[in-house]
Amino acid sequence: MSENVKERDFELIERFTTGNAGAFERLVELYAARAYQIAYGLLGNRQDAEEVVQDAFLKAHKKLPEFRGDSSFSTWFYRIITNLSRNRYHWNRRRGAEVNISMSASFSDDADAKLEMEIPDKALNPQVLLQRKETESALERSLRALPENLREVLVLRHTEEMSYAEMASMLGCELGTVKSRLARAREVLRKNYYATDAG
Amino acid sequence: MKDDKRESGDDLHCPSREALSAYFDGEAPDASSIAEHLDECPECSERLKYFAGLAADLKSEFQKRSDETFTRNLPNVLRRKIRKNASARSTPFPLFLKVAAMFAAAAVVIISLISENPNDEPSVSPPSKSIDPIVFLGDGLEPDKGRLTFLPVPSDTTLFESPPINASDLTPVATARHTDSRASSFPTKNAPAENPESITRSVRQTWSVANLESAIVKFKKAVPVKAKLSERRDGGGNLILNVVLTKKELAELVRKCADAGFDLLSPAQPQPEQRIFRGDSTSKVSYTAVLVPK
Ligand SMILES: [Zn+2]
Repeated sequence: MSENVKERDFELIERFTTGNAGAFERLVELYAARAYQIAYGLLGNRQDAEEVVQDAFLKAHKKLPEFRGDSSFSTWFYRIITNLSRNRYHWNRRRGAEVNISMSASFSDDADAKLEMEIPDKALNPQVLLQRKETESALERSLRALPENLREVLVLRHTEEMSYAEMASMLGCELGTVKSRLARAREVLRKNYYATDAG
Repeated sequence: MKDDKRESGDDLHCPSREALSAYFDGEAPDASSIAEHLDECPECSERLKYFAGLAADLKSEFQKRSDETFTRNLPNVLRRKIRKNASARSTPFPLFLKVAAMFAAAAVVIISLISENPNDEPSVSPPSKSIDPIVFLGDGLEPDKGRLTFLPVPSDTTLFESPPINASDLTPVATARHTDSRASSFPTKNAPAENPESITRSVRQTWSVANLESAIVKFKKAVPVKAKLSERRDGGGNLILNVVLTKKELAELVRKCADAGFDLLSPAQPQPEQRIFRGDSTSKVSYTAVLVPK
């Protein structure tokens, strides 16, 4: 991320916290589309993504006066997006709204992935399933089948081109973890998606 | 595809998959030795090609999903939600608004006295309690105009509780006029003032509504009784309503519509969360609302 962008964002935040409401609107304009892409990438459906993005901006609006600039605004904000997406994802899973997934065990490097194994898959509403079949691409399906922690790094890397260090700071993990998760995510997709797709 | 039995990383000289993946991302510390290896190893080159292909596929996949309508409407939606959250916390009326209330009461009396048509009652339907009062600067807020009038009367403000007028209490609003005019109306936590907006003589706004039929009923209820309302449908099943109102009535109508759950899609003023307007509250506006079912 360029220093100019960082400074521009800090300036907007400064203006916002000293009373210029338009500065927040500018941040929304600047980050809405990318935030949506990340949330959609993580959650795999439009409605959840929209709600997460809205909530994230509301949270940012509330929390920005406390923002101290230890990280860039984008890192700080995408962390909110990722956290809210995680919550939403697990909430959906608990409600049985999300189908899953067989390969979590062999790729787990933390508790999140284990959780995937412990929660039994429940049947999706057939209508939703049918809709998905019609609109979902093969890649989308393979992405959704990835364990959450692998999907996260892949989405952040390929929507925002975040560096490993940025992702590590965002996700609160070691740089080495980011590196290995990304490599594994790519391996899993290669086996799943490309093996069947290339046919 | 290549023979898959021997995967890169198996050979002693091949970099690990992790290293290759990091190399692809420009994050490998030993990049030059990997680059050398790639010249000689078709398996690893193949894998790198796969990374590139996957990156391209993912990029287009993510771009395909972007949703312009959502992104475009987001500022409006957020403004509304922030306003709702703020009013839910029900902050007490600031001092200057209490003062405003006092003068508003006086203004109502004056308006009814000078009204050309004595039967034409000024409609002072109080706004819902949860919402900040609407202020029109043209009604005389500017100190240089020598008189102070604020509309409407907050229904739950007791006039006798208002403290004596203190010129310094009025400063924040008065200076609001000189702040950045392209700033919008996001309420800010430490906002000293809010930017006043103008309402043009003819306003057209599009509303997204869940159910057209019940929206029509709600809309008609929100319009002042005396106002003449015309309605027609367009070819697309949308409802187009037109009504002539005062600016103040329009500002209230727009709030009521937002409170009724309509989503305002147009940026034109008055926005439901906007509190301070230029101009005077009694000027007439031709208002067209297009109700679009969701
Ligand atoms: Zn090799």
